Amino acid sequence: MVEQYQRRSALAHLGLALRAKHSGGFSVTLSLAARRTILDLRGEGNDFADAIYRTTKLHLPKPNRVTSEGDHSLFWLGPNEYFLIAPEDQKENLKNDLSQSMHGFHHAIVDLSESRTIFNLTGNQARDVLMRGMSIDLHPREFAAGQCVQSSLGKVNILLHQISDEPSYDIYVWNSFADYTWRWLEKISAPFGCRIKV
Amino acid sequence: MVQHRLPQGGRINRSKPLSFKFDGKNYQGFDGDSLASALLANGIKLIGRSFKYHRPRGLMSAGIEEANGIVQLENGPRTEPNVRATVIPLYEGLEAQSQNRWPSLRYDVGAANSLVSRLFPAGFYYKTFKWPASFWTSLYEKVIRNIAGLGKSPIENDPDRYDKIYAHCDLLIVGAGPAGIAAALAAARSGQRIILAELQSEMGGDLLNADYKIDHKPSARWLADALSELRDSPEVTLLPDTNVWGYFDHNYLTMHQSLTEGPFKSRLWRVRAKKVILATGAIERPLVFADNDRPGAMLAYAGQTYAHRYGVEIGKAIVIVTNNDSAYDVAERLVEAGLSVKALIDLRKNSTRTLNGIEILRGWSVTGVRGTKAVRGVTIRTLMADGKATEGAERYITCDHLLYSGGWNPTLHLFSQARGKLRYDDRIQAFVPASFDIPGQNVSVVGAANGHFDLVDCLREGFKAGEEAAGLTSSGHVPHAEASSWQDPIEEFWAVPSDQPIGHGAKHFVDFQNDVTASDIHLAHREGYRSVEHLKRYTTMGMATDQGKTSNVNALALMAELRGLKIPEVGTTTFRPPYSPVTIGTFGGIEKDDLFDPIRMTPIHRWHEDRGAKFELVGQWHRAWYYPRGAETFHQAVQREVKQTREAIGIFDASTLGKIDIQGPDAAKFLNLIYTNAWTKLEPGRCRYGFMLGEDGMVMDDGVTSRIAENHFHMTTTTGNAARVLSWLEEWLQCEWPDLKVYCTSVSEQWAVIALNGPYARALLEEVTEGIDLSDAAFPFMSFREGKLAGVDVRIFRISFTGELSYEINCPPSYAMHLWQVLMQAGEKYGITPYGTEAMHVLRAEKGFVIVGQETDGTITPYDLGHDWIISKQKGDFIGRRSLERSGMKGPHRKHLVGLLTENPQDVLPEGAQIVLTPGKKPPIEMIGHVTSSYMSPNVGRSIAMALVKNGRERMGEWVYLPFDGKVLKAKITEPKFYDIEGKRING
Repeated sequence: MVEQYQRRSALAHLGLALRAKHSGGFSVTLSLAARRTILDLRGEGNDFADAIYRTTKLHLPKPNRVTSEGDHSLFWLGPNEYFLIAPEDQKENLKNDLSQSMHGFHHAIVDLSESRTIFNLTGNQARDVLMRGMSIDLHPREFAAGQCVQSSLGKVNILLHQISDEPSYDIYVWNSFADYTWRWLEKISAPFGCRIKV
Repeated sequence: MVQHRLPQGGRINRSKPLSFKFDGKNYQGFDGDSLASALLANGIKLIGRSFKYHRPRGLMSAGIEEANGIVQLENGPRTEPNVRATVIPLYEGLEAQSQNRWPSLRYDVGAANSLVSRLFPAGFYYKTFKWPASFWTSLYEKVIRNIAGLGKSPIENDPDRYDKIYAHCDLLIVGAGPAGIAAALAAARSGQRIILAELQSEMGGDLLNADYKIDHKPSARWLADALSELRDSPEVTLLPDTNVWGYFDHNYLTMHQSLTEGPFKSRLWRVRAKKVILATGAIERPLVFADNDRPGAMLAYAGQTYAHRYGVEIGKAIVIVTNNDSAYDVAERLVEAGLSVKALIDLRKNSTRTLNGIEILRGWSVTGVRGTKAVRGVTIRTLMADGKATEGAERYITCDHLLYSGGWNPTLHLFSQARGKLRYDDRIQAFVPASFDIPGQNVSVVGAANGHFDLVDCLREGFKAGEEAAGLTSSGHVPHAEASSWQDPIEEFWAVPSDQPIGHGAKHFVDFQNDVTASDIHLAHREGYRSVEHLKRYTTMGMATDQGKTSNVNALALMAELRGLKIPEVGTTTFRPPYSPVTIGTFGGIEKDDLFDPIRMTPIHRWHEDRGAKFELVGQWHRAWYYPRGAETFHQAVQREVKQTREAIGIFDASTLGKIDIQGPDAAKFLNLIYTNAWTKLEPGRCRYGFMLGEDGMVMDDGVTSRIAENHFHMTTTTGNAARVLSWLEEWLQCEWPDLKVYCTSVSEQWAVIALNGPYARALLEEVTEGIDLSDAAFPFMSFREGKLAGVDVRIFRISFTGELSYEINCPPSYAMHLWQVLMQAGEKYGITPYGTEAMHVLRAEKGFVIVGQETDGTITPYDLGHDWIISKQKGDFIGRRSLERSGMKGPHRKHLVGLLTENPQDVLPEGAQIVLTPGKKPPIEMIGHVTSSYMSPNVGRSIAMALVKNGRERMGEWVYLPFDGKVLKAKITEPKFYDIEGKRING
């Protein structure tokens, strides 16, 4: 039987606990988020929207928006591409349910839960941190809680989701870029006072 | 120490003295000084030596346009060359050195150039450093490098930190003079996001250099109130010390902000603005008269700036020379400040303005300046009626400071960078914007930059533009000032006549920094360099660090005069970013050292590192290259890994492979179009190797694709092409075949891949897997199975890039490290050995497997590789087919992939070595191909190589020659297969 402790995050080698101990400040908090179910849903039309609604009670979001219901969220990534985000233990059920409800029309359900590492950046200067690497306008008039965008942060492609007005952001990054992106965020955040939370 | 300060006035804080060093000597200035004003206040007029003639030079301006007063700032790693003393705010402990002089500023050996200046005419580089060609690198380059440049670059690492930021705004206002501030005040009421950027550390522009009345208040008071109102507006960002240096498409502007506090030296801003207002002001033009470069001669407005803003007593006896009314204002303000103006020489005969107590000499010309290291006096003569020569008796006026004004050029560098068209305005004899309507931009120009120099116009125009930009319909209160007293028009005197023709006697400088004179422009004209772009490159006019801010219009006007054309017919040179030089460190920001570029790591990276692996960069991936044990060399480690893989088990981290999930009812049809071979009949559970071609029929990528289910495929790509292949698939699906029902999704990082290769691979897997029948019959080559490995759900592909019995285990990345360790532990008894990318290369070369990008280079077809079998004859079209079927794509002129065996089995050919048919010939010699891969193979027991050779398949058994490094190796052409030619090992 395989044990959870045998799993390893893409940041395991960075020793986040020690970094957290030595970090300080108050303007932003940087943390590694728990693993989640990430299902890439591809499809178009009413059947597709209905199938997702039947399974998750989520409406299809408008471009660069996120719809949420309970612990499920649906991100708009492209005209026929969405991310369904859910707690990790619901993955198999969701996959099966969606697969059944989408039977009969062209679609794709691709499990990407293992492909991304997720960071959270929260605090009153989180926006100032992100402005150092993102060409997207994050001013509250233009980008608010419930919005998401695929863009680059520095030299890395990311998916950014603003989860609250504080502001608080989730940053989804490919595993292989996680180490670089974390160190980049830590360094960029340092002048603002960055607390690292485990 | 004598301070040349006026008893009062100026925006300097006299209670806060600052000490600084220039050329090693201690001086004192005040808070609020620029380095330039502090030098002047200490009576230092000689600041540098000119580029070509090493002429003594002093300050010629008080701003960004400075061409003479450039210094080397600070020492050691923080040293900065070619810094304009006029834009550096003085700080405690500042150290600066003069440049381009040896052994000292006052006694400079290079000044001998001046005596033989006839040897340095325009284009002297092109004329002198020409023949013979053998001197180009041996002598000329050294000479040019020695004389080129002025200051010295730092040679140590830059210890400073730099910040970079993106910003967005509704309105970006460039320039915080009266027009820019009025625009900001007007727009701020709307609550829109506004950035007001100003080059200088203090905002106010002209209001800092003169006293006016605005809205019945002293202008200094009005300015302070305006700035405090703007500071209190929450969405207004005031950026002083900010050089807006680039204006790109779609209102994208780049700015460089110098910072004096905080951890960063400067900040790079990249701004997307919905609307831009350029309130960039105007720069005064010098007059081109004899010896106009002497220290103590400067632009008239600069003189006013030093006196009014910095309280500097620029001289005891000042003479002004002008062709326009603005210098009259200067004279009045100098007198107000307590300075003595001895005479104003007006080149215009018929001007009318008078000045209290100052002699005005109308229709006189400056024929010379006395004094080499400081102005001592000027000689003047009356101008002849046509204004082209002088006549009559020479008069001499002693003075210690000379101010000149040749009119004003609106600062339109950014406007021109934005592709705005200019028009020549005869009223002010300068270029102004022809129209603000530039496709893709949203810009307006106000105030002096728009050719409206009067304060009252600047305020009104700025305010109106601000309201309009903010979309405000109700009108606010327009700040009001009194109109100026300019009354007579400017007159043209592009070259101010002396007592001799241009080119004889004294020099008339046009470009001070690059030492370009009016006679150089005459010479360029005589030699046929008449287009302004040619003129610029031939004379180097406008090519110094000041980019010709004061010289360009004078130069092109002189050329127009020589060609008998109007100035707009000659045109301007192209304006390019940066407006003013930007420190290169700012582009890097924090992205240096270990953050320079992303380093992509596999989930097993740490294990490789702990095992002492050396890494190789593949794209941004760090891949384990080889794992040296103890004191092993590269060669020894690779030989061991290669041998051990064939004799026991090799374990390899292949996680970096590109992986694409392909789903949809048309997936097989789509693959038929993408790959050269047929896919419809592939059964679920089976794998197939495929080639992708470009539309030109050349090999683009290769990989194994597996059928997961009827409408579901798992494609693999090479590591380096992963992103490119996905884009390629999407392009065809979205643009060419939107009717195909297929979805492609990158799953490269959803799966980590561990490859097991070698005769004991099956035995090892049997120990650690559950639910998979590994027998050859149940799990044949080129198929995959799903099951558990050490309790983890995995997908195992029986495919091979080594020719050995081989399994590629795909697992969730979070478990990859665990599974790798399980396999290492269980495999120990079989002699399991991790191998890196180098061993992988050797193993596949032994089998003659190609690597796309190594055996191919974008000009190689599958036929060239001898892979005719991979091109389906039965199925329909595929990408590249039409190109591939052209008659010229086969035949003896094509290069074929072959093997090469050296005569001496110990010789390893260098990759890239050229192949010839006959030895001993001297180049040029026909080359029939080159080596693509070459290794020492422990399994074959000799060196092996692959090569692309013209008509190679028809040359089997022939001997060829490879000359390199002064020797020639002999090799025999063979089939590109060296080991296990029958392919038996694949079954273990």
